[in-house]
Amino acid sequence: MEAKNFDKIEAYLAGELSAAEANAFDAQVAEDEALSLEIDLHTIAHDAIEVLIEEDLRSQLLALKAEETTTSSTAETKVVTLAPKSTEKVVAMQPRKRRSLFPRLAAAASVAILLGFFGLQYNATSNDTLLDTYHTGEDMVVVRGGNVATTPLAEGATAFEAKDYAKAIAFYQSVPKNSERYNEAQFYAGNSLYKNAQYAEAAAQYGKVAATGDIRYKDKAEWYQVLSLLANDQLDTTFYTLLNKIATDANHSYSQKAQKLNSSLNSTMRQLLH
Amino acid sequence: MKAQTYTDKEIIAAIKSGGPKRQEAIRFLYKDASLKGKIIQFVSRNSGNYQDGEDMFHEGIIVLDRNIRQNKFKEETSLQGYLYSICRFLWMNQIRKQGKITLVEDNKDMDSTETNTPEVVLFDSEQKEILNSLVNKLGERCRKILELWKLSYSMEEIANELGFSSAAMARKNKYRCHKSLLEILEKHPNLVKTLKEH
Repeated sequence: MEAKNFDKIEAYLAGELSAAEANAFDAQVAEDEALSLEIDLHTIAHDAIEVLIEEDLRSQLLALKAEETTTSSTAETKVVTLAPKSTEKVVAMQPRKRRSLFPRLAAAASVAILLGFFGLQYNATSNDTLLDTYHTGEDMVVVRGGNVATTPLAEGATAFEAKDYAKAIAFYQSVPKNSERYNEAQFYAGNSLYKNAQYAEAAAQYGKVAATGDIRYKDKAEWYQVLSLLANDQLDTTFYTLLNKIATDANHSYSQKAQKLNSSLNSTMRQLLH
Repeated sequence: MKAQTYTDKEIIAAIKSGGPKRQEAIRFLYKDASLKGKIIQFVSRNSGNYQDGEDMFHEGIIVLDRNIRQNKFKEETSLQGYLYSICRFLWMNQIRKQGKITLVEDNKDMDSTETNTPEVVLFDSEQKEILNSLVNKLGERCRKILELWKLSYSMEEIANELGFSSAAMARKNKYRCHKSLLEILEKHPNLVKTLKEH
């Protein structure tokens, strides 16, 4: 790829060339197949970045939706907390009793806070909570905003969407090896096994997909293999070797998530509580 | 604190400028309960449910954001009407694929020009899968640089956001990442061919 074409192609695609320049460039492209291919690659690169932006915005919208849900549940909580206030008024009519209760209440509250804190920390560092944090399941959606019935592996996708994971597994595993959709089917078989809580089988399935080296699924499969092992409480050498491999590969799509998961697993609080 | 309100022109300018201003404008659009309600109502009356309506509202905002950034919104209609027409189109497209084509009605207070078919370019699931797999071969930092650049962040803003020492360093890294992405595409001619055939 020639560097001199880079800026020209970007200007062309951004509509920044004058009409005369654009016409001249069009004529040049018509004569030059290699240049035409370069433009195709630049266009696809832009599409790929748009997909990143789209995914990012979709996550932001889901966060806004969650924010709304939280706000409405907080409002509900506020209503509930009104009740003790009226009790408080009754208690306030008996000041002596209330004062004498205070140290014991305070001590009880301190214990409750401490228990609550460690309880929260225990939960926050448990395997299940880590899975909730790192496994959003977003990538497992077979089709976003579309119709599963029109996808090439429609039978499996329909069963998956209907949460009939056993049927989805059977379908995906029946796709023959010589099918061009074989790797895709194997990956979705892994997702279906995971959703069916067959974590050991899911880990093995993702391992098979990762071994194919198909760049569409390799990184995802490796990451999900880690999460499947975590879900299976199988924090063995295989788990840590793979987690470390992902975390230390700066080009791996899940490198940063793997680093964070590794930190969470090695946190002092988790070491103390688990 | 009083929530900021926007005119259509201000929303468009904010989305085009990228950065926190774009985020705030999108938040403002999202919080428009009246518009969201109309879209959910339309979807619910046409073979969908509340969740489908919410999904279409989200997908509509995604298309609106892209169309504004790519200068495809011509400002001939109100932004609200345009977003409604995108959501309407997306839902019609979906139910058409499912073989349910009965259109019950449009919202009476939407101008007929606002229910015209907007320009909507959609990536199908296979395209998305391939594009995702290719761009994800880049490191996270590179992906972020390119995303911010495409969202019209200035090199100074990218430097601030990602901790580069200067705008020049941000520019240098952006170029390197962009080249890396093109090299990844070059190494996968079969996937590029599949994308071109779509």
